[in-house]
Amino acid sequence: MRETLLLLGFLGLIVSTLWWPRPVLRTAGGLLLGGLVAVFVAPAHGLLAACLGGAPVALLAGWWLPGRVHRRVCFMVLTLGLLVYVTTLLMFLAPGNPFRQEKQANEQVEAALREKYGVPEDATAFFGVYMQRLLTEGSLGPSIKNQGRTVAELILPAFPVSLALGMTALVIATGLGLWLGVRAGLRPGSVADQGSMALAMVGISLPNFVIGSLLVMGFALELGWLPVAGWGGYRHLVLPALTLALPYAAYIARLARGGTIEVMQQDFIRTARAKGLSERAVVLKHALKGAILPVVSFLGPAAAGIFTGSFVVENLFGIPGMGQWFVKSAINRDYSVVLGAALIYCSLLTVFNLLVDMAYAWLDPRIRETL
Amino acid sequence: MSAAPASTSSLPEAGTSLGADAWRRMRRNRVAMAGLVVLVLVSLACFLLPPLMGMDPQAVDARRGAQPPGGEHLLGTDTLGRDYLARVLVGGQTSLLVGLVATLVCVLIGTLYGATAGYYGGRVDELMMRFVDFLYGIPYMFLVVLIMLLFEDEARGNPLPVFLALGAVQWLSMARIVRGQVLALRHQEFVLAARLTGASDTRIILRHILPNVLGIVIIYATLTVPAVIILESFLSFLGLGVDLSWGRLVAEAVAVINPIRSYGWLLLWPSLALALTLFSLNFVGDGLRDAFDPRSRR
Amino acid sequence: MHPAPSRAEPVLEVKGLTTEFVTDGGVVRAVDGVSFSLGRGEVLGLVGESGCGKSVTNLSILGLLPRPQGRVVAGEVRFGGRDLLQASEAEMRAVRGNRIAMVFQDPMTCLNPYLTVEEQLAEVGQLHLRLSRASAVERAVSLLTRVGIPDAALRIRAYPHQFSGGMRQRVMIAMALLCDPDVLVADEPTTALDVTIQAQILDLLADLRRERGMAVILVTHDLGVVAGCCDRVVVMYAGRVVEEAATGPLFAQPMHPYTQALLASVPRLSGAAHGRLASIGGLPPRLDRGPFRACAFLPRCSQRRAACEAGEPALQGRGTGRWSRCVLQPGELA
Repeated sequence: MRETLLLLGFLGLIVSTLWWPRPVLRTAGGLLLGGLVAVFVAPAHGLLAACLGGAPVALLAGWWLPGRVHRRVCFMVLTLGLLVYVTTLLMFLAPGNPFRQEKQANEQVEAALREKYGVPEDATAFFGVYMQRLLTEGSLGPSIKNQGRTVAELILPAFPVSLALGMTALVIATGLGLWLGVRAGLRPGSVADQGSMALAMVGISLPNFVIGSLLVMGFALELGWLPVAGWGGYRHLVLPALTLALPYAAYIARLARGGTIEVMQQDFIRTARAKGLSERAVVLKHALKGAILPVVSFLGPAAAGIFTGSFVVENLFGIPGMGQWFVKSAINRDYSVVLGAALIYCSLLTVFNLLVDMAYAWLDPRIRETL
Repeated sequence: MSAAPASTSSLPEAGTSLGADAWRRMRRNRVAMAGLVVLVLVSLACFLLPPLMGMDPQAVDARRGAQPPGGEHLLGTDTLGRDYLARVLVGGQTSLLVGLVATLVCVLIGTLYGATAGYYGGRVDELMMRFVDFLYGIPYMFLVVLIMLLFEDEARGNPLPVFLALGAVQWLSMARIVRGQVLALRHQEFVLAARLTGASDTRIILRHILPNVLGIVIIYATLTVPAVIILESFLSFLGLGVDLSWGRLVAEAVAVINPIRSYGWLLLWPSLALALTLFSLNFVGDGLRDAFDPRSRR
Repeated sequence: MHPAPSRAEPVLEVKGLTTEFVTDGGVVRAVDGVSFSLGRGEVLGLVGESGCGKSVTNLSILGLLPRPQGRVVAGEVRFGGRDLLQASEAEMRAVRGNRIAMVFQDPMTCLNPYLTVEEQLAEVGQLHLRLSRASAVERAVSLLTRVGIPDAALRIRAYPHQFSGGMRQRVMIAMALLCDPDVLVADEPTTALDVTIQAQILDLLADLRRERGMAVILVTHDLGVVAGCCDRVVVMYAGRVVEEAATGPLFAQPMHPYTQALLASVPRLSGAAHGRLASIGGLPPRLDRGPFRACAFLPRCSQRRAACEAGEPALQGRGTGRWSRCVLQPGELA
């Protein structure tokens, strides 16, 4: 009951940022940004330094940044908070807990362990403990299942691995997809078009672990060109990144094709031709921007899909990334590791989404004013 | 072609409804029709063959472990000596069922949500769609993994939780599409007419508006089925899904791959079944979309 | 009214232009044997219902038909001593936007929403006049000022959506005039605009024509526009020319029943309370059923004769500069 109310309150707060008046937004946005700085500074340099660092940032940000950035910041911070809460709730609802799974645990031992790791029986109380630790100490807490290790120790080394894999895949997916899609869209019905779309259909219709297994059997087992699995060096990156990228490349190709066809039918393309521009100039200067807009708006979901899709690919290729930790810890009910991984993934994606929105506004001047 | 007096045929042929017209175009799309046939065949094979031929996906033939296809076991056996044909067919039941039922859940939630938002418009619409935007921002794999944890004990052998979990995360696009359509429809005269006769909002939504968005809902539902099947196979692959599905079979096959023996057929058959089904579904979905909206093709 | 155009030496001559489209339902002959000539400095009105082939005629002249569906199957377009239909793509590009420029119907969709007006105007000067970017912009600003855009030097940096419809059409006209073209093709330039704006744009076009001495093809379905602006009129129906005449005589004595019907459907203030406006019953014929066995207008014509069924009438001379595609002599028309 209390959880439901809290959940609804949280949701209402997030959704209401849409209608917050300017001054409220500015204040809240400035405070949140300053607070973020303080959280990062506090553990290393003490509370005084945190206040000294956070206050000017809050003031400057509240003063200088445009309103829509404030709105975004409020939305993002609150969303992350809600995400942590929902994750906590779901984990506590799931059968079992990290202590009871150990066979010898009796009730006293469990109580002692709960005390030691800061895990109360109640989800909301745990959320309180977790957030307090996060905000005052800037710490993700200790891992429950990996004794003596903190979550940061476990996850942070895995973060660059997942990031490298995800970014490579994203670049491959976007590059390949745009190239195939725009080419196809310029000549609908041609051989190039039908070939690209057949390829895209394969990419969409095969789950990535099937593609991955086939790639491994071909390039690693049969040809021996690339390592089967593991991590270290760019040669280990090729197959997993490709596996992760291909379905999204296929999707992007279809979107880019649709966008290109749509744009090429627009009146302003006819105007551009009537000016005497070469076909090349018509496409590159007048059509391309509009053609890739649908792709740009898909980049947010694509990034989410690719970064979390690495759950499967990391598993398949035995890559020591964050996805492995997330799934393993979720199954083991290692609450703090799951929350830490979720927090990092979602921060990454929110920042990425902000960049995508900015790119979209840069591409489409009509959006700029409404954002 | 003889030149008819030009005027007699200047009006479009009467009596071809939108649906009939679309079906005519669909029938001309050979790839889509082939997809439809394949789908029917795959479904029939998965649901009729095992009971008719008394196949048991769990029966262990201990002397014949990891047999390549051929002989007594048409598709070979897995490493424990279970008949692979039976396992692929029964696994297909789960995958197809998950795809179908999760899509129904998704259609139900998405259509009602989208229709409500679009019909009432204004603040209600803004609030509801803002919530959808918010959910869009959350990587759905997180949610699915977490939701699956809730049902961990029950999930074995009972695919219902999977349906729920997958339907619960897939309805967002459906809601957006339906809302857009309804937003355009709600100011049309026939809705006004219905309102003038005193029909309630619920009745207008259910009887007058939803039938008009049915076409697009069907199209996107067809494209949702493969997405759900893929998602289910991810979960199975991670060990979170149901006991026996195509995704689980692929995962088992990948687990036994090693440089010396790759047991290729173990990977081949479920992958092939999965690919064939998903191909067909996507082709049918694309075909339907082209048939209902000829503009999108060119 | 206007200085008498010189008929001696046409700047553009279209002969027997025939254009077809390949569609799902078969081949549609959208333009069938259209001929006309355009004198230097002349304003020629191209009139007819929607779908009668006016726009397709213009797109064919400039080689801008949508490909691969549309293609010119016969005819000749004489311009600058050669046949544009035979010209290479590179030669056509040198003509388009330079010697023959075009203004389209809907200024809302014809300007690129993703580029500033400066970008879209300057590229024409850079391309055809080989101007530097700076002087291309300078030229663009002076033309924008000429077409009546206030603060042009500032406004040129705006995007199309920041202009009103009338202003956008002015931008389109400035864009078309950047290279001082010999021929301006204006395809329904005022149809998408408010009535008051329409008059302003038409006045602007008339002024600019007088200043620069360019010839104009004015496509319209609005006979009021024709009466006010054009020297000569070509009436099109179902992809063919059905009547051609100087503006005055055409309005005074139309020689084709279709032209008559068009004129009758224009509301007149002086006509007092006639009750209803005349409208033309029925729809234009389908163009995908091969050649016509009778007059294309026959099913809708109020003055049918037996002779009309005999076959499609040819375009016949009716005195100097007058042509009509009707079996009836002027005296026989109601």
